Amino acid sequence: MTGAPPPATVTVTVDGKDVAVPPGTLAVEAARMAGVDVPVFCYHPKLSLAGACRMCMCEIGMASPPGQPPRPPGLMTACTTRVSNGMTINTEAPAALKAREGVIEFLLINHPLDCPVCDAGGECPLQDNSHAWGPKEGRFTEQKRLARKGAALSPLVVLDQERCIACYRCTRFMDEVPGEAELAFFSRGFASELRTAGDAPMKSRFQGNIIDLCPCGALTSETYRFKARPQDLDHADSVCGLCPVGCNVILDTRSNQVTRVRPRQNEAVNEIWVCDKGRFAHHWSSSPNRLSGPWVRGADGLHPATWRQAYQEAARRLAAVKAAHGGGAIGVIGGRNLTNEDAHALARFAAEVLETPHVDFRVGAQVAEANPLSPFGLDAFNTGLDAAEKAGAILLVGTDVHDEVPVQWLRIRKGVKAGARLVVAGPRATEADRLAFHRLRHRPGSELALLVGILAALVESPPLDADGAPRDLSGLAAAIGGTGVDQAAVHAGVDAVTIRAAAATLAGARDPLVYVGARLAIRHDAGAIGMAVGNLGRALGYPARVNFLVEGANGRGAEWAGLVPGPGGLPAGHIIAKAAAGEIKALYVVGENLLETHPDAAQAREALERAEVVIVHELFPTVTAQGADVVFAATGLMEKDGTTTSVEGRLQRIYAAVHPHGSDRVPDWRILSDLAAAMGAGLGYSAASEVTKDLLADVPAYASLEGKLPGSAGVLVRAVAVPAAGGGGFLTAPFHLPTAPRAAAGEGSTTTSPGRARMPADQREREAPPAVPPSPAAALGALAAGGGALFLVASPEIVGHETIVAETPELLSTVPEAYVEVNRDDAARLGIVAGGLVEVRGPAGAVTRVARVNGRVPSGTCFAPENLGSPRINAILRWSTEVPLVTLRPVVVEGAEATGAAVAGAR
Amino acid sequence: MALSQAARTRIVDEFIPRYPSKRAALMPALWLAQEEAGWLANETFEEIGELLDLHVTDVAAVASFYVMFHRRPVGELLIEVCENPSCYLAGSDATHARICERLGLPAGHGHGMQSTADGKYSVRPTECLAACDYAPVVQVNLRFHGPVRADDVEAFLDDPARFSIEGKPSFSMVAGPQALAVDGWEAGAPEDARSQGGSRASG
Amino acid sequence: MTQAPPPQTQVPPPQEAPIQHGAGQPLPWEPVLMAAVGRPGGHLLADYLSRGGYDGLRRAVAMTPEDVIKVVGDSKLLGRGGAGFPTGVKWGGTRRNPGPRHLVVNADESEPGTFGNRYAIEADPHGLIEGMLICCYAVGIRHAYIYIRGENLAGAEKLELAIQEAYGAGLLGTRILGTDGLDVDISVTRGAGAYVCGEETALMESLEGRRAQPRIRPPFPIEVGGGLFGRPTVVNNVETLMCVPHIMIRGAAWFSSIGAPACPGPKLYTISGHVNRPGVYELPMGTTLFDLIYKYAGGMQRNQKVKAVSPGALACQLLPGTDLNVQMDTATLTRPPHWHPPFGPVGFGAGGIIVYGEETDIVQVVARASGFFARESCGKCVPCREGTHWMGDVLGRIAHGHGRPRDLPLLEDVTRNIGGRKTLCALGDFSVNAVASALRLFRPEFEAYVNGGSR
Ligand SMILES: Cc1cc2nc3c(=O)[nH]c(=O)nc-3n(C[C@H](O)[C@H](O)[C@H](O)COP(=O)(O)O)c2cc1C
Ligand code: SF4
Ligand code: FES
Repeated sequence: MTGAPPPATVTVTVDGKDVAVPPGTLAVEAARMAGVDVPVFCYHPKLSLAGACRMCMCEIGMASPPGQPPRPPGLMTACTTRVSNGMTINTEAPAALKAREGVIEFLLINHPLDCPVCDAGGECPLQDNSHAWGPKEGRFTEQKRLARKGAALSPLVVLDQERCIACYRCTRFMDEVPGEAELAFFSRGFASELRTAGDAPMKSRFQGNIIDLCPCGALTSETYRFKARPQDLDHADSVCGLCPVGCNVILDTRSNQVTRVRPRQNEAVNEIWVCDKGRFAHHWSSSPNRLSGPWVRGADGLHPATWRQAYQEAARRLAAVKAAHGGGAIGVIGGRNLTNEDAHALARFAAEVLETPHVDFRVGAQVAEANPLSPFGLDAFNTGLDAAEKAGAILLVGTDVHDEVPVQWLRIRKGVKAGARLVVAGPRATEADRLAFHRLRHRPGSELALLVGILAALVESPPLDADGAPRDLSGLAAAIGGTGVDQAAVHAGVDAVTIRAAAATLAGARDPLVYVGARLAIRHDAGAIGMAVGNLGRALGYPARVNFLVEGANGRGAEWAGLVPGPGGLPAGHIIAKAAAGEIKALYVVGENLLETHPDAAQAREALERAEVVIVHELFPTVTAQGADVVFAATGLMEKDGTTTSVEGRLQRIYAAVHPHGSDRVPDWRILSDLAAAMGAGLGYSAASEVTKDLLADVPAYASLEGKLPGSAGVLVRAVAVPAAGGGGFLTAPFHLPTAPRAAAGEGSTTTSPGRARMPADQREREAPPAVPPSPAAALGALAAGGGALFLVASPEIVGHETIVAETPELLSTVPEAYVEVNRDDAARLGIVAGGLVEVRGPAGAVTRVARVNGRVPSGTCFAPENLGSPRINAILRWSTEVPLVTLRPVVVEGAEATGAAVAGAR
Repeated sequence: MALSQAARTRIVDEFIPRYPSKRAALMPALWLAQEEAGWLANETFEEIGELLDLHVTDVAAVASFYVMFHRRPVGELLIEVCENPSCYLAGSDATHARICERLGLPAGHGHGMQSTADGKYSVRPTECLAACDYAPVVQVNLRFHGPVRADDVEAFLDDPARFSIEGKPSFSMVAGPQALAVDGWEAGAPEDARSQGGSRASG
Repeated sequence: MTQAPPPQTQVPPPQEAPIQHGAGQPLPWEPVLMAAVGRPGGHLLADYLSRGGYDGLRRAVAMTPEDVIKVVGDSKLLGRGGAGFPTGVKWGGTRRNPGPRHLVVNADESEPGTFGNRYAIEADPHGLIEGMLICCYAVGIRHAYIYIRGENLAGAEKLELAIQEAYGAGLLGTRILGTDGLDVDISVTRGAGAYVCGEETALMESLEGRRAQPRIRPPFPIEVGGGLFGRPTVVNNVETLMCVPHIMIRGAAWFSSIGAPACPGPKLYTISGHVNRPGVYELPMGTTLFDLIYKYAGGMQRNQKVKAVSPGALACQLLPGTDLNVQMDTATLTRPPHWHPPFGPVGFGAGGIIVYGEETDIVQVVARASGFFARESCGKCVPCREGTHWMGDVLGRIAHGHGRPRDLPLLEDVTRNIGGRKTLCALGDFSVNAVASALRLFRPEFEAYVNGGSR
């Protein structure tokens, strides 16, 4: 490198004070660095520059070139002016003050000044800036603009157009951050008003953020409206407990109830955003439907009991099973939504008190190994969440990131806007497809074949090393057993040209990133997929930029705390299967509504019915809890002190916002400790901090913290510190794909796995017989036979009919009716009309759904969200059939009432 | 209100390739849709949005910025009377009022559009049409007419084409010599005028 | 079917004899921009070629692009769209930035009182296309876009026809005039009724399919990130580009010798209001207002005195009728002389002159001007959005006889809170010029209104 590097800083003078700032800094930020707050409305560091409000006007002078007379300073907007060396920024020059006063006067002439009845009162930049910079008296005597007040932009966000100062923060946010331009200014000039086309309700799952961004009370929250004043509120720092991203939040409470959830800035995690589920779904905490104390089953069913009775009853029943069949007859499921402290207590409880290895937080898991990348000496997730911002390419496999890790999707979008090329692999179009550089539309269940195809394409044309030479991938060729791109392509049902192009994109990218959906880490072929993904990381030359997502708010914490099968232990799916078969005699279920979340509802019901003992920790009297022998009323994440660990491995602290004092609910760790005592063992905990201490000492992942808890930003930890196994070479796994795709014969069809990684023999034995990815020929054959059979793809939507959502009616009302998505061609063939009712019949039964007809699913496949409708789609599925064939039949409705009944029960 | 197949084809095959970004085809697409239907309905915005990968709100918001895109049906003949200073000086207010009167529409309605009940005429004031030499200027379905003085309104409504200025040279070239004869250069005004300017003569 | 233009190497010398312009006064020189106005079929390619059309382009492609830019620079051609920026500098600056680059022709012409572009486009569309081609050659541009206001349908049709003819004759498309380097495509985009689209960044937003709200600068249009589709872009007015072929043919010296030395060349003055012969007049830059009104526009209707003039259409300050000796050119009117504080230069704009006779009710005119800007404000920035509307309301009230004495100082202060480069684009500054200058020049008329009834 020749040439002088650009100067690291430039010096500017703010109100007479010199500061050194990086070149290109905006004057407003430079002033901030000098400790001077320039008032702003439209400027927002997370949004594009608008220069619209003119509030930030300062007198700014540029240094003149040497030898030339000084140039007079002029009024400029500090939010759009980038500093240069020698610049003077006078934030309080008389001309600037005059301009600012003018702006405030202009803004207030049409503002209703209804601050006393405005939610923003007390935390309103317009109010604050008016006091600080506005004129002393108003001179406006014309008719004020009249506009919409209290207009619902959606069930969640309310618009008061009269208060709007048109700063464009909300519209910029919607357009730039989630990329959903569903809110815009209509008309122009003085008549400009915020609207949606046809006044349709906003649909975005990120719309709540515009409430925070609005500087003038024009946008308020339907659920918080008129509920409190800022000065009435107490605050607790917490972490959202609804998905594994772990967005940092502030819980605002009044009278020991959460009234509002706000994002808390953490640049490494959520920046300043949260999704609408995290923001609005908090009313469950104060719901009257909560379990208010423990229940115990008597001869006449469940009835409320004292804690003492509940502990004794549970202890007695568990001890009986243990005595008769040994600890190995007890299965423990759950823990992905608990704190680390709860998880640690549960892991200890299972190992030390119940003495069972059958522990798993991963509902429906088919494999025992929780970390598919462990053969590579990697964690399941190996980069920070913010890595997506600077990646050159991002591969998404088996995940709908928008719904699985919502706020991380915003970060991925940011990366793509900054130049990352997005490669999206999936059986149907998701939100990510809108930004995709390559779309790999593969057959349902054939992710492994697709990954092998990408590996084969890399073998064909290897990435170049730093010296420009092609990387030696002969080891990889061997590792995939010589499989060719075309062969893999046939199997995945993707055109080989696209696979090659996608591989080339990944190979050519700087800092590529791979995200694999959580489901692929628990599926029968998780081991092989892990092999493929690990090898992909190595082939690309970035061994540690591969990541598996995880389910649950604290799935990673649960994994590390040990809520995974111990030696000889069964994965959660097998625990249920064995319980249904009568081999597991007792089920200990913590915070899981298995009847809705286990992929085979009938089997889960059978397991719960057949088990001699079922103990449940729950917040609500769920259907699962209602089938238990003892139900413990637990506290939720907003009500606990402790720690959680997010998908990326960030240990974060949470503080209880709502204190259960007086109420009859108890944190899970305490239930476990007290129950252990009742069983004569005793974990010996009486405060969360004691469990935390043990956690940090006992769990290897946290050893690096040396017992110290992180501050408000949390700390990124890694469970695995060992260098990559095999010194960076490729791990051999026989990825044999059948030479010709074998037709799956529909219901319950199983054959040997097309590509299973080499695994320890004992583990392989424990696996259920996996399903071969079905071929389109099979589906088309079935279609031709007139059966109308389609492959069903199912995954959860970000907001569904979950109990926790149902307690916030406004949010619940945004959840669509349970639907099935069908391709236009199939719909035409089957006589299905958009919006009509369809009977979806699967291997275990049938449900009725509303048809969505579009091109998002390819012909031969249909999609149903997992967490919508009652019963859920799992009512028609068999756990052993991973890519089920279902038949669709339009429902002939006689009379309007039938329609209502058929789709009722949206909870 | 659906777009015709021909329009869809034109948008996809002609407008989109014309620009390096798909959304740039929006203005021509909106014009085309309006030519077909006379106005722009929400479903039209949806259809255009689908063709250009834009959210329907985005499309509708863009359309709403421009006063020539109609979000409601307009009459078969859209009469727009310029009300900016040059036309005002030439009496456009009276022209506008007379047109309204002749069509049975209330005058003095601010800036909105008014339409006759039979859907034949819509009338509204408009901004300068860049034909000020023919003031007062009236546009009928995007064709220029002028000068249309209040006294001309009946004749104008009978046969607007008579007032068309399309293809005509500048008024300065067609104005008859009589205009000059009355108040021209020779008529003595200059001396007067010169003396007006004298005090500030800048050389 | 390519219809090659006849080879022509001889450049006709400028005609000496003054030619008669319609029925008006003899012009002191040969009109070049208006040569086709009133000429039947003048807009067709055949006619244009017969007038020596596309010879300027031939000359240009025989030079290096840098030399073309130098000639344009030497001619001292200033942009005719209003800002008066040196065209050569704009072209050179754009060329220095990496390609692809674009050319945008600003044919939005919506400033009340301005209508020269309309005649130029309708009468001589090939003159514009030739100017565009020269620019594309000089700056290295492949795609050029004409943005024409939606109301001017006839103009858009003429342009489409001319573009078709030019493609047919091999004057557009690839290998233009058989050259290896010159490939240009031109398309026409129609606006749909928004004055602010004349502002170059709003125009580009509109062309890109957005609401026409101006962009922040920097980056400037000639820079990466600031121009059309994010590429370095030359934005030029129709008239600016139409000067270029003539500069190529007759040379920079010819051009810079015409009229005002600081901003030379022929200029399309448009004049309207209380004059006898409103119209478009092609005259040397720097012609005095007096000559324009009395020598060319036939003097004042009903022989009334001139009360005031908007010399650069509605966007500029009013000149009193006592200032008719002022030279009408960018340099004189946009640089400091005596009559303008507190808002600085009067403004020349695009040379649209509105003449108000003594029978004019200035308050009504100003109320109308104010209403215009209020309706045409894009609404992006606060002082313009709220301030223009406030001024419009107050002036409307005054004009309806409901004024109050305190309205006048209020109006003055509001103009100060909008004007003076406080807004994102110049529309905000434009909106106060007429109001502020009228309040200064014709205060008694306003006072008569606010002290009870009109006049
Ligand atoms: C509010 C506003 C309206 C404008 N309208 C026009 C216009 O109608 N035509 C035009 O050529 N320039 C107009 N301009 C000037 C353009 O922004 C730009 O300076 C010009 O097109 C550059 O071309 P030129 O260098 O050839 O003059 C306007 C500027 C502003 C601020
Ligand atoms: S000055 Fe007016 S037209 Fe220009 S950006 Fe601001 S609001 Fe828009
Ligand atoms: S904060 Fe700078 S213009 Fe709005």
